[in-house]
Amino acid sequence: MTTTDATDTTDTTDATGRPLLDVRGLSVSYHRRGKGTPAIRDVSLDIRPGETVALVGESGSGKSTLGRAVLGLTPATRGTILFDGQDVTHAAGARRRELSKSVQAVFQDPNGSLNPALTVGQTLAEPLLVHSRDERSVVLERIREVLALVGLPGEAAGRYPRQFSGGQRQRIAIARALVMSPRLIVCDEPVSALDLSVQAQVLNLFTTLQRETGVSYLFISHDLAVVRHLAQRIVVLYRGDVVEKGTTEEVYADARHPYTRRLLAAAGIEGAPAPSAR
Amino acid sequence: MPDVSVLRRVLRRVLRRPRIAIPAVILLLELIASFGARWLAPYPPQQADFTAALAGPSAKHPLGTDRLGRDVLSRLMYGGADTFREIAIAVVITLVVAVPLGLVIGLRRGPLDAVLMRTADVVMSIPGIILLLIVLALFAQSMTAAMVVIGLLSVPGMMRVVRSATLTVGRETYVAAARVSGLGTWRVARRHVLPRITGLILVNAALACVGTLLIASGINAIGLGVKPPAPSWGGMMADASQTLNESVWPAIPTGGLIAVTAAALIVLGDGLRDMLAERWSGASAAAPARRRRASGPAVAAAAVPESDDAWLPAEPNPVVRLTGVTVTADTAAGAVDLISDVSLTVGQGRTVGLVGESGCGKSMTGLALLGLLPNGARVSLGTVEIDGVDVGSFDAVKWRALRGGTIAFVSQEPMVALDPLFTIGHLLREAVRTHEKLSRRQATLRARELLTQVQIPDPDRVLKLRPSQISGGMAQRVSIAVALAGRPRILVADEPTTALDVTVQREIVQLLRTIQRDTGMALLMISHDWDVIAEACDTALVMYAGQVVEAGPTDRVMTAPVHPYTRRLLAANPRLAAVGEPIPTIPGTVPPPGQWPVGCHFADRCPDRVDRCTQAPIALTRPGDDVVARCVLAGEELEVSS
Repeated sequence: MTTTDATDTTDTTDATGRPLLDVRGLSVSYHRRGKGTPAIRDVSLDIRPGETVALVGESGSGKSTLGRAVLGLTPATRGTILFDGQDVTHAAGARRRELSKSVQAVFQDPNGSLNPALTVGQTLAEPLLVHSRDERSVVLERIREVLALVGLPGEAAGRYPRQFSGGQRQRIAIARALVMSPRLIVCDEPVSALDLSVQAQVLNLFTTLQRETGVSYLFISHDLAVVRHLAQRIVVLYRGDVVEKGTTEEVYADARHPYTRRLLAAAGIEGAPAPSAR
Repeated sequence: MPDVSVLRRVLRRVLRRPRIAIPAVILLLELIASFGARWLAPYPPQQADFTAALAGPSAKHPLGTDRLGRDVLSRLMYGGADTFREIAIAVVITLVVAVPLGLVIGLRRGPLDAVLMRTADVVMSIPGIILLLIVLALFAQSMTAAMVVIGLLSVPGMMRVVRSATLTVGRETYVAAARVSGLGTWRVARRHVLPRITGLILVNAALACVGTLLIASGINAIGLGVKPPAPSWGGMMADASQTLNESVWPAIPTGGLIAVTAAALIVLGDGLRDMLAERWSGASAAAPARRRRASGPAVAAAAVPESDDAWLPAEPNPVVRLTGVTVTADTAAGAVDLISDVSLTVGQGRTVGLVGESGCGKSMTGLALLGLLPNGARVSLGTVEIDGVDVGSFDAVKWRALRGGTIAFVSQEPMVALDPLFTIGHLLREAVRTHEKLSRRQATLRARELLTQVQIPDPDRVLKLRPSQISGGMAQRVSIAVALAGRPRILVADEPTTALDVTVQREIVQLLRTIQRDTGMALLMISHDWDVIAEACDTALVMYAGQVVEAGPTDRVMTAPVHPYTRRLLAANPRLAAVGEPIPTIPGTVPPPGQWPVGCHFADRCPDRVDRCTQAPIALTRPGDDVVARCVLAGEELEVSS
């Protein structure tokens, strides 16, 4: 088993310019009674270290399917997924476990993504239990660290998810993703179930964490108004196909595909001046 | 040796629940009597007293005697040990094989799932009785062998139950999250799935126990298991049936014991399931105070409801008027206010928006208006008037007449509101016919008309579809059509766009506007989304921690907000915020009901706080023509800015 500096997260600038995640010609079909229905067709995208790429589309566009395929939750039908130069398309078992140190996820539903029967501490300790045989005190220290990173007090570890608000639960879910110091976090609609004011808090948290840890995000959303705060590049999916691809400025200033223009109009930023480079 | 204090705590928890304690005590006594029969039974099982054959209960024989004059109580006690041993063998085998298999195939699916499920089909089609008879013949009437066979024959059923429950729990996002964390199938099963389905397994195990008890008794009754004269419950039933003409008595304690044991097992299984479910859901079955009638409002002081809604444009015919409404809930900790002193008026054809963060009481206000407050909550102060009638004293019948007819409701989750079993045509016809006496044909025509009204193209096709076959946006249109079936005078829409794609959100808001223009319906729109409020509402009420903190024409509220909370809430909208710098946020969280401060509810999070804010309740004031605000600084600031 080969692991190349999978634990080194401080290195945000890859001198070789090699993408951290490289998805090439990926197709995923859901089999229903032998007939394959393609959820995504021939999708390619790449994410560099420390970068955020937004995957935008409406429900049913296949954007979550792509995220699940990168996480190994849904098998790819065709194409390859390279992580840090290695083919991980069909990684399973011990390789997938090893990969899970570097690739983590934050899901949409802050109510469903935490096991209601486990305390926050138990949930956060889970990845540590799988990957290391650290002493109890080390585990507790790491849990306190990640809780502090997402702006929650240390005593939150002893409480159950139902004792937290939706925004706080999403912070806990982010803390779980951070425990192993991953290099890539797949964020599947991480703010769309939250109040606008809480969305703002969580979006700021994503920005801060990226600045502090150099993590990359694959940010999946249906709302262009939200992703422009985070993403350097945008990929627009429509019914399983990539219809638009470019830097955030390009897409906002000069969307080519009519669907992208509809998304922009819905986000209330039609004709808005292109946001300045970050 | 287990820790005594833990034991005591578990015991106390069990004893508080009669549904667990009673069957548990019964079964425990039976076990003690059975396995201690050698020391406890009054007579040896075979000792016959021919002079007292078929006697009823007496001091000598508390449960009477059988046809050979043997003591029924003693024989039941001696026979019990075998019965319980038999049940244990069969059920333990079932659980040990079926639960792990069900968990693994439920989580992994794949070829193993297919193979095991087909095998299960085959095993389930084996005639169990015949197999049992063969085994009993081959193994010299060994009940142990028979029980192993019963245990194995029950595996497919139990495995299917566990598998399908695992499939359901496996779809939970936290299971996906655990996998992403690197947990293997077995760990996921043990930590995340098993605790959730333990209750279900217990209930099914209890059913399996009862099944085994009956089968074992049956085998013994036909003399294929335990050989007479050795005592067994089934054998005693057979014995008793032979003398039914002479005396019914011996059958009663034996049959009664089997029935009581079966009932105790089932009730115990159910009780344990409920206890386990409570642990993680946080609900308590021993809900205290639910039915207690609280005598007065929670807050006695400052109980003068303000009905300052004069800022609203004079409504010639208000459809809805809330005046100083306070909703109070009885909780374990006492009476707690959920919303406090809310006044609002919605006139015909007008739209009023309620905006604020989650937990501020927006939905509770809507539910108070609909008469659908959750159990234990009630309007403790103020009045709710619909079409000029105070609905405070309405009973269930009057409410039913009002709901759907005069008032209707659209929720956030259209899919949840639509029953997946029925076609959209059926759902709509049903809604139409609860309000009007129509033939099936007329109802179909009206259903078609409703779908046209919510601008669904090709309504004839959609009438034949089921909710699972349409998109979220279309489902919301259909649920609006259902709400319109009774030609309501006011519609309460609670976050009707939140679960939808942005491209669809605007269409739904425009649809509601169009319907309003055509029908003159009044609309109370509940949303956390300023874009929706801006597009839909004439008037906006901003709620914070149970109170209206600012109100006025939507334009004014959004362009010249007065209350610091409104200003912060507007600024925290990621859609309006500048790119490249942190989005403004409101630090902290909304205080939950019961923890509201005495003074301004927002004071803790407010950057403009002064001493006056925290000393006494803040009143709604009216510093400008179209401004109502609950802030001590409101008037002063207006002067400064104008």
